[in-house]
Amino acid sequence: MKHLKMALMGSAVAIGTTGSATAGDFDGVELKMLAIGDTSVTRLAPIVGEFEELTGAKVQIDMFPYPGLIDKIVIEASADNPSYQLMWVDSPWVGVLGESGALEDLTELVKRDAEEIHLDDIIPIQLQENTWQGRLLAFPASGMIWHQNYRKDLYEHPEEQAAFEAKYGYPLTPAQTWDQYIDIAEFFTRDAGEALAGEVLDKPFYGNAQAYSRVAGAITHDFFPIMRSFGGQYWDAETGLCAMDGEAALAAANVMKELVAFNPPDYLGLMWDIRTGYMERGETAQSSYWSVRTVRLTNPDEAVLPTIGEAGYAASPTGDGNPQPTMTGALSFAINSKATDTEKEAAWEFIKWGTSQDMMRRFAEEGSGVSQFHKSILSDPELQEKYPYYQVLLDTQENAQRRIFHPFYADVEEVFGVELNKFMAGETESAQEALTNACTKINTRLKVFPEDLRLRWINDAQAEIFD
Amino acid sequence: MSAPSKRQTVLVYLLLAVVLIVFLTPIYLIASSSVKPSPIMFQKPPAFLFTPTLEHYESLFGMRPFAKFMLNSLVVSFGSTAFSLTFGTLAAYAISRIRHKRMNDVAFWILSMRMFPPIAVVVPYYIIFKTVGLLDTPLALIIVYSTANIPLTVWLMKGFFDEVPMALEEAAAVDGYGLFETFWRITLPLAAPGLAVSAVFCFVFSWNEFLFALMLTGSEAQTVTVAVMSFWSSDAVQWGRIMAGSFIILIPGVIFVLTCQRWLVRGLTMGSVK
Repeated sequence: MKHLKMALMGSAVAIGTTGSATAGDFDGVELKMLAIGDTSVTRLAPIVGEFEELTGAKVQIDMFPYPGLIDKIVIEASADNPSYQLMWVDSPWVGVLGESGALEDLTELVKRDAEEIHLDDIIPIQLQENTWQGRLLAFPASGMIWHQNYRKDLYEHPEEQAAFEAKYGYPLTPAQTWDQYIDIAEFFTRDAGEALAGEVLDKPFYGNAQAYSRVAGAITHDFFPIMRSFGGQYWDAETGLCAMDGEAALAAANVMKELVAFNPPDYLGLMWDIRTGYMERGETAQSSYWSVRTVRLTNPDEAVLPTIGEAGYAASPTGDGNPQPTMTGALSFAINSKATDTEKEAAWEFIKWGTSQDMMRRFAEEGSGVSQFHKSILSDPELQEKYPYYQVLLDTQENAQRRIFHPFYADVEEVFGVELNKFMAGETESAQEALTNACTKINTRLKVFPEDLRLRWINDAQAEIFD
Repeated sequence: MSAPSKRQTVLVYLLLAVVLIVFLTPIYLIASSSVKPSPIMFQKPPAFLFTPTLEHYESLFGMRPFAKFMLNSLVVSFGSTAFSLTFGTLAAYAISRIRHKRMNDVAFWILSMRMFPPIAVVVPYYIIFKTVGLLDTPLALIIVYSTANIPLTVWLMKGFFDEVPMALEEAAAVDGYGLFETFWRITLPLAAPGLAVSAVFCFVFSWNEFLFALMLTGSEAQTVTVAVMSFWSSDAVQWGRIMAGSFIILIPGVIFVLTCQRWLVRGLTMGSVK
């Protein structure tokens, strides 16, 4: 009887004229969401009452710190009759959470409600970000894309353009290769007292701002997009062991090392958000980072740059001879596999509501930093005018590559964070030594497990949600 | 002993100034960052002159029920401190006074309770509290913190009770005091500095603890340490709010320590001079 009721409920949702559940479908159902204070959640939390009015289900969102949240999810999912039915998930976690069986497979639900959720409008890589072993374990609520931000006002300044071309022999435009990126970083690095765009600087200006901190693996967030842009892979496809010490990884580490000279002096302690601060204050010529922070560059209440200059946006540079890649990530919502069937159905209804095309458009219009993942929103002319970086996010999805999703991702971030940081600080002689050290440590942990298991962990099979 | 020379006095004050700068700089940074506008939060060199803003405090209390989280922390910290002092003091008195060849082993066994790495016991605690329905309640944290605080209290108080001469208790017995009356009216007041020291350690541990508070609470019993760290999200670390929360968090601890200060100084030095 319960299954029949669920089937009827599901059908009602699927064929509903409004494309969502009708009032009272989930009367009495109470859901709790284990989340962080991420923009994708803080925008939704104040309006969950609207969902209750719509469906009858009451949702409470509890926000916790990012560090430790994954452990709390794993513990929560280990208990029967869980306290939390909904989970906020960062895409690299799908390996750990997939292996632990913590999350419900959403594949069938997505297929069932494909029309309602405008599946064709969602950038495919954002779904792939949440896939583990061919199962879709979470649904994107904010799609992150790694891209390049630069000082457009400086790049378009005639004196700077002329000086750059005279020095390097090619025009000053957003870097397409890492060699160009280094040239631009060198060119714009100035001391206090020097001139920049016709003005005398009262403090130093930097050519680049990059995260070199080992804390929370910050340096790896900058290293991996560069490594991937040189065609590097995380894992050896034959053995499932660490492959992040090959030529591409070496090139990436050396690019970062060359850029050290053009970074702020506190580069070794720069975490991702402090690094973005340099761009937001207009104190650096260029900086690449996740698109979740880019919205600040359009808002004078959150950044200094809009009042002193203008930000420009471009795809992240590439290694020579490689196609322009984009690193993606996804901040997503998932369902606890231990929830009851009714709770799961209500939770899925909530996910559909909270990540819907309409809701995401509403967030965009309100000025939210939620990073969009619907093609129609990113290509909307009015929104593109408001958020000039939308076109870049849309264009760069074609060659997108997903983030690391291995169950040992945290180990990788920790080990590579330390080894790369030591190399940048000059404590390790060469990039090769640093990367070999890191891979050796990772492999020591991985070799405990049989090869077939290691190969399963790197299997990037797609969920069968597209016809 | 001659009075210090002017030069010595100046040197002492200089040294004190250095120590004060070292200890007060982080507090100054927390306080100033809590009222600094976000765009200039990490400006280099730091902005010392700026128009202060209360936006971080407003959003701290506006976006989350921070007052409730403060209350939770106070309930948990005072609850655990009271619980630990009550039972820890009684246990310490017993260990101090009972003469038995295995009593030192008992004392060590009690101390060993504190040696468990928290991460090793967090899952069992979670399952136990989930089973008995105490998950996400202040009582769960009071119990957990007390398991760490009681051993500390026992060991601290045992030292203080050992210092109280048996002759005083024997005199009390001659005057007709019973065992508990002797403990309550004679021994405990003499060991009051120990109570103050124990109370401070118990309170500070409970107030600052993070791991258990993260794992064993939800929105009902969340404490300030977790609430403040919750402003560390994936897209931004909201330092302004973290600093505002941190500054508020400092206040109860400072008040508590200052309240206990009179006994604390004597407690920390008691027994150091024969």
